[in-house]
Amino acid sequence: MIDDKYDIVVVGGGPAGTMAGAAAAKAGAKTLILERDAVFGIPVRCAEGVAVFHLKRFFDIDEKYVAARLEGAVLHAPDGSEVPVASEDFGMILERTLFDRWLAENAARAGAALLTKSDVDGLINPNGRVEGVYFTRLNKRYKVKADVVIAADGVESRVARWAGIPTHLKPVDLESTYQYLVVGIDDDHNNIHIYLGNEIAPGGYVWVFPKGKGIANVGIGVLTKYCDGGTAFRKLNEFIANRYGKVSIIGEAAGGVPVARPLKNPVKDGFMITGDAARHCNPVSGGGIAAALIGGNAAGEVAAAAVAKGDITESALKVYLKRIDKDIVKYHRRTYRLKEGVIKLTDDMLNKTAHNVLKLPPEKRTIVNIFLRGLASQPKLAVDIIKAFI
Amino acid sequence: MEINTISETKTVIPILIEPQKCDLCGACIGVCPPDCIVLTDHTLAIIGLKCILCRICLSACPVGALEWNSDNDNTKMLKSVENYDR
Ligand SMILES: Cc1cc2nc3c(=O)[nH]c(=O)nc-3n(C[C@H](O)[C@H](O)[C@H](O)COP(=O)(O)OP(=O)(O)OC[C@H]3O[C@@H](n4cnc5c(N)ncnc54)[C@H](O)[C@@H]3O)c2cc1C
Ligand code: SF4
Ligand code: SF4
Repeated sequence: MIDDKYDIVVVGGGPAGTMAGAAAAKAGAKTLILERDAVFGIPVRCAEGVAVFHLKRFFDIDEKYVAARLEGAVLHAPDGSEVPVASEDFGMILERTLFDRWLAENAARAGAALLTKSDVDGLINPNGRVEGVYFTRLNKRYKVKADVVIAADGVESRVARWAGIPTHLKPVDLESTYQYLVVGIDDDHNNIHIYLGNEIAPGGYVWVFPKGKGIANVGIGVLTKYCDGGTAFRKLNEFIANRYGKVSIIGEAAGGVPVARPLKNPVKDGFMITGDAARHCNPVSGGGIAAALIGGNAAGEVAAAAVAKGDITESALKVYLKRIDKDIVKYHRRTYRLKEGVIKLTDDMLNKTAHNVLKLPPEKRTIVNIFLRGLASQPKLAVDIIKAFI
Repeated sequence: MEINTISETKTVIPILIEPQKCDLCGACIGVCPPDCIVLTDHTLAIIGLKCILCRICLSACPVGALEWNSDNDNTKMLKSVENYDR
């Protein structure tokens, strides 16, 4: 049964959408989540790494969606130097198929209605005010009204544009990615491995995220600015041929990761944007699961509270920005400046950085220290970066 | 090679979509300034009428599923990308 009107309609059933839907429903709002694909959690376009503490903020971890727990990370400089990185929480590798499905279940249990194979293709927005969505399901078009529409449609972020908010990414702000699920590699499987270098992955990196012994997500992100068509695919194949020779591939996917500043204003009357659609990925790492959970949850709660109060104006919904200010907005603005510095590092600088960092005691080899050292050879940049962290 | 680009006004643009290569990942959609790339019914299409021929989508595509058809070349960008910036 599809009703004509909901308090809240969420577009997109990734982590941001299902978190928003669960939070809204839990707060008592009549909520509908619309997902274009046939199953929540498929296809997977993700390396599936996430820090444990982010998940623990919201729920007890259910082992059924955990593929592997990690001990640490190792950065590989272009000349092959390996730098083990210190951190308290390297987190784990998820089975996103199961995790996203679990999040959908969680939203359903909270009381949200969910629909798959439902492609949102327009907004009801007479006079520019968003009042609901149009979607097509099994060749039938539906019109559903909503007090608040939450756009969680991922990297495409078209829904926001229909509401008049420009979200297209500049070539310097999109990582073009390709990933294989590889079996038969005999790498260390207790750490994630990151390979840096302008030959290996211009403006990005290659990752090896182990999902158990002998199986890993091996993927690449390259900055669109430095690409012509198909660069990610080509460079990943080169990397695999050079490092592993022959491997078995049991899955593959292309993807796009926004590495932009978060949208300045992700709300307007009756409308909110969250997750990748709001450009909430970490601009350096490209990780976006944590931000999708944090932002989605905040968007859902704020929307439900606004509906309950009967005030769904932009100014009422702006509480959302306060809720994500520390974890996403400020943090990612800072990280964005770090990205601007990092993409300028030459291979030579990366190698020197690795050698310098290896002189530090292991506990001081944090990601921030590493990049700060790297940028030390570029005084002007270093000042910018240091500013970004204070 | 067939031109897969559909358009509301039959405007033909020099971009070829190779459906066999396209993974429907949406990266090209994320960068398209005038929002003229559409993914629906498991098919990617470009609304030729709105395309400004900036070629950013070609670079963004991880697999090279978008190609510039030089037989039908019109290298001039129709509108500056900055017109769309936030
Ligand atoms: C190759 C790759 C590796 C990555 N690795 C990591 C990692 O290791 N760790 C990490 O934290 N992050 C990683 N990310 C980023 C992470 O996957 C995203 O940040 C995260 O999935 C964002 O969640 P979301 O809910 O905002 O969007 P998505 O997960 O993209 O969900 C959006 C959903 O909306 C649906 N949708 C879109 N348009 C419509 C429409 N019109 N109507 C209905 N439904 C629609 C889509 O089908 C999709 O299900 C990676 C990304 C890529 C591409
Ligand atoms: S060439 Fe530019 S305007 Fe045309 S589809 Fe590609 S990104 Fe969009
Ligand atoms: S970026 Fe390439 S693979 Fe992804 S949807 Fe666009 S054309 Fe298809």
